[in-house]
Amino acid sequence: MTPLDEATRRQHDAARPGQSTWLSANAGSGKTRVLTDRVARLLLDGVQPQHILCLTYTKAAAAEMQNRLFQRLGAWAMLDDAALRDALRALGYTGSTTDRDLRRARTLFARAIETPGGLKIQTIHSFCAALLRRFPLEAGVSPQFTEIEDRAAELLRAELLDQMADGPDAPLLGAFAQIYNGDELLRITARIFSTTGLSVS
Amino acid sequence: MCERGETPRLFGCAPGVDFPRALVDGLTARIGDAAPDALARVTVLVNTQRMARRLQDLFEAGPPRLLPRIGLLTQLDRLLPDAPLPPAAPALRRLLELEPLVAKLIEQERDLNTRSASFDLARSLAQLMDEMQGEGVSADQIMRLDVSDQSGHWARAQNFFGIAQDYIDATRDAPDPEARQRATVLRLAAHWTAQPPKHPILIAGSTGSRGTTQLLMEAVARLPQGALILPGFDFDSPDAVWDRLMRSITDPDLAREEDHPQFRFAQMMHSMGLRRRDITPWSSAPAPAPARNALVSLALRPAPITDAWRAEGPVLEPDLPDATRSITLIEAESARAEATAIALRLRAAAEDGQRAALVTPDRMLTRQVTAALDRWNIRPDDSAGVPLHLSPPGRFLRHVADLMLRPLDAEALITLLKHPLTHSAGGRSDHQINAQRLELRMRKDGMPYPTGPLLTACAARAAPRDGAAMEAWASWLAATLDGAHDDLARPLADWVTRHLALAEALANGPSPAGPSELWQKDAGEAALAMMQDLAAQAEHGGTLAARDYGALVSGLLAAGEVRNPDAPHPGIMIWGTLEARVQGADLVILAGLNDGTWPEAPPPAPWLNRKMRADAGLLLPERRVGLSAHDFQQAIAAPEVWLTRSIRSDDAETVPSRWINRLRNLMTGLPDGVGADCWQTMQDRGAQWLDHARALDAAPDRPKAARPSPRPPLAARPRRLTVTEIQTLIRDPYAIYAKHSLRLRPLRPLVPSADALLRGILLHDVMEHFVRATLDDPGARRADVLMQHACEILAREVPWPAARTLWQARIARAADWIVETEGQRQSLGTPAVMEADAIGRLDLPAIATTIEGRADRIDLDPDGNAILYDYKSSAPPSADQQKFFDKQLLIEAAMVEAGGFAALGPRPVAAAQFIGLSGQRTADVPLEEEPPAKVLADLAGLLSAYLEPKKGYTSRRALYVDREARDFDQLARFGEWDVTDDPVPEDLS
Repeated sequence: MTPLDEATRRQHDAARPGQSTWLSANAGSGKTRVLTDRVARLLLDGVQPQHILCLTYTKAAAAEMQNRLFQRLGAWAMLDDAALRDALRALGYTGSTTDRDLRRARTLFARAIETPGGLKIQTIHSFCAALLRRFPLEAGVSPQFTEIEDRAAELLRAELLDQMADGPDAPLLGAFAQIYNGDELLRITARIFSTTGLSVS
Repeated sequence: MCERGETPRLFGCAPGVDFPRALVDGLTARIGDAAPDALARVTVLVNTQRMARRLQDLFEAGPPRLLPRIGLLTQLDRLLPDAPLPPAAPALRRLLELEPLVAKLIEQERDLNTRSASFDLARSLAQLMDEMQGEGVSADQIMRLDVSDQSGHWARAQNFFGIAQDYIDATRDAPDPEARQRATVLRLAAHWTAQPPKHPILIAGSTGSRGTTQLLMEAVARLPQGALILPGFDFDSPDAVWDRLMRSITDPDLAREEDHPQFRFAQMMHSMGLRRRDITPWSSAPAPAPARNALVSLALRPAPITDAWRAEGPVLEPDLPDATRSITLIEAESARAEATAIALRLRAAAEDGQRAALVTPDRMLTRQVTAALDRWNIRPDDSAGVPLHLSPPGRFLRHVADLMLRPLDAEALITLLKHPLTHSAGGRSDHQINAQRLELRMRKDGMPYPTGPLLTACAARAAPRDGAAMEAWASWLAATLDGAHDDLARPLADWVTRHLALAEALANGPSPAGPSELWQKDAGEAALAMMQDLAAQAEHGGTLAARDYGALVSGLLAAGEVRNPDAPHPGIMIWGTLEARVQGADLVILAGLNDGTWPEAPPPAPWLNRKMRADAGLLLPERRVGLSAHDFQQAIAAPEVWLTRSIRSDDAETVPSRWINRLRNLMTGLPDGVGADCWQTMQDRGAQWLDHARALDAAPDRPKAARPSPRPPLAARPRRLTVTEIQTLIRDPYAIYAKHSLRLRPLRPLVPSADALLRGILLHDVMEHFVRATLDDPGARRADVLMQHACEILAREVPWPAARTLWQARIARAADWIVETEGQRQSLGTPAVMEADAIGRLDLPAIATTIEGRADRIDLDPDGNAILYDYKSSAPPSADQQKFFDKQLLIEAAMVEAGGFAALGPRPVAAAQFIGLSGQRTADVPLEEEPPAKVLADLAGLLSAYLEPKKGYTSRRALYVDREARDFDQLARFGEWDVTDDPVPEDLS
């Protein structure tokens, strides 16, 4: 076996599922690849796909990761024994590769795309939304809630501000207006909502 | 007819077989030449109305004969020996009765903060109850689940199940539809066990997706003359696959293969103790594409045995060209491109007389395709119709419900006035004219929150010449809308009454000549039926707020649907995935094949997680996936097939549907490369249509507009400008051309906002009132007096409470500074004229042009010299800006010296100053550098330049801020050019 170059070795290390990893690297240097490799190795180790959670910040990243993972696992499903062993080793996998292991590796593709409840490679937002929907009583939300659009949130904040200015809290808003320099209150209320985690219902 | 063979008796039809036709053929063949009444003794139970209709049509198209009885699985009363159960209680009633119980529980539970969600929670609980009754699971069974949970979550959830159980117990006499169906099936099964019917009973087209249906099917299969005919039975799966599916039911170490398309059948076989070989084809009709069925069957293998792909795939490989010959794969850049390509193909089908069906769960996509087909006047036969809440009466009723929800705002008013059902009982055209006049006036005056008095006053201003008619209309409107908004909690029945009264009053207009259009046509009738149903059930509901009432009505409307009234194209169909089972199309387009769309993402399940559901015997989300997979397997077996998806959604790439992923992976990974070639060919066929779609949507690249600099004839150029327009003439001459030569005025927004323009106007007002007051009483030059004026004016003129608070605070901050500097100003001179009567005028006879202007304020010093002031709510202009652009005060100073202000006569100007109110800063006008004589000469030069025929009014000539949006940008087609382009003059006649 040819010795691995340094970068590949470190990618393998980062993809080792047994240890916690903080990975930071340049754009285009293969972070997503390492992440998908790590998921693939977890699956190889026999972890149920529904027990894996991958959070990303953007929808684009989540979809891309999922597609890449399916591509990789899909390729395994159709490789012959020797080629599949090579592919697993190239991933840094050092476990056993008996016929039975290989047969199992070939089924990971279909198992992953059919993860009960869907493979949890998703954005933080959709993960949180799913949690809230699962526990509507505790979260104090409707089980059928939808995420508010930015524009609708702005209108709602404006309505709330107007209600405040017209109601018993008027002096409070008045006092705030005395020290507030900006042109309009909406900008500051948007910041208040986003930094305190207040929600409107 | 089913004399031979053991029971239970199961038959199948392969995917892609025209199921109703095969059913009829098989039945006819089995009857053979028995007595003519043999067929009439047969009972056929089918799963959908559509299937029943198609069967009926096929029988009627055949030779004259006595027909079998065709019934629906949900209508079994006829088969019972004795009186049927009382009719089921409507689902709406259950929702209405559950909601107060849920609300009460939420109130009792201190730590729950979900009062506003009681309807949603009740709806979700009702769904769970449906399922419990359909699967024969009691609340007790659920409550007994072994759940280790310390958080109190399970205890809380159990309280809700308690509600459900109490409710079910209390409504035994009037069960809901699921419970009634189950009770009926149980009675029927007991009756059949005691007295097995001698005549044939067939159940056709059902997969037994629900527990109750499966019970019935099992009972029928065991009858001496009973049989089940299963749709889309996969005869290609080898025994090993069936064994695996069945083993997954019993073997605790294996996960149940619920998401496999054939799993429901495997479960049926398992519970009846059947093997694969016990199931035979119902008719001899071959599948349209047997090779494709084998391929799809292999691709859809249960996940744990997909390693068979490598073993069995190569066997199929030689047949792949045949299997995929009639498949086109569309992978479009966007959902829109997907829809256009589909529409093109459907159009081709219509032209060739091919029967084509679009099958997808994605209603947005079907709407896009329908819209795209409209350009060729093709109206597809959409099995789902239009959701009632999107139909005209549905929208109207929602708008009216909104009126009760919040104070009337301008947008809601105009939306309603322009709705085609408003004032639709005669005199509609007068109504339209009145509404238009009102709107124009409202835009001019600004009226964010119309009230009765405001409306009538505005209407009077809107049509001074046509007063009486307009007044009558406006008072009708004001009276009808008065009191619509209501934030009390009321009994549901009250809300329904108010809603209906308001809707009918608005639809009728002041003097109806007959019934309005509101309840007319299919959609109106459906909406009326829904509202009457709600009114009839209203007594069962609790008290609720307008918001909950609005949500309830919207939800009910959204659940209804209206068939498209236009006669649709007979051969172009849009089917839901379930209807695809009926088959009978030459071309089937499977669209929206992306993960999360088809199969759909599982709906949120708030009460029980997956494991609890499995333990309790409720539906698992995977069952829905399995049913979808079965729909897919049947649809893809049609004679010709299109598979379409978009590779991107709005914000990200998409993940292909799992079935597409499987198919691609299997085909492209086969060793001989035949599969990969076939896949490529399928894609190539699709790419061709995508090219057509692109060509269809391509807009020809038109030359971009040049930066305009129109040169209207001299007669059309303005000879009368205001002082403030001089700055516009310098910075953006095109705006002067648009306003004076074309006589265009921007239409102001319907809902005015608290903008800088209004703020400026009001600050002027405040200063004027304040200064006037100090003239009468020098002791009034105090901050509190200033604020008193400010509060009064803002209270009167600013309808937005928050903006009012903010502006008030702003003036308050500057109050001391204003009072102090006002003292200085009044020590220098005495205010002589103020805005209201400070109109000045400057005639330039040499060029026959007049300049008019309104000065904010002119004071006179003890020597009789004038001092000019201008209030600014923003920062005052710099000296350079004044010299080259903002010449307002310079020109006014020249006006004063030339005697342009009649009240003052000609006088020397001692000083001029801008007062920046919110910046608390003043700026002197550079009178020495720009003496009046020079200003006048410059002005005359500028104006006469624009009276040269060769001088054009260039757009955006010299703006202060390059990004600034201007009123006439669209007319000038700014954006097609930018300011680095040279203006292109154009002589106008």
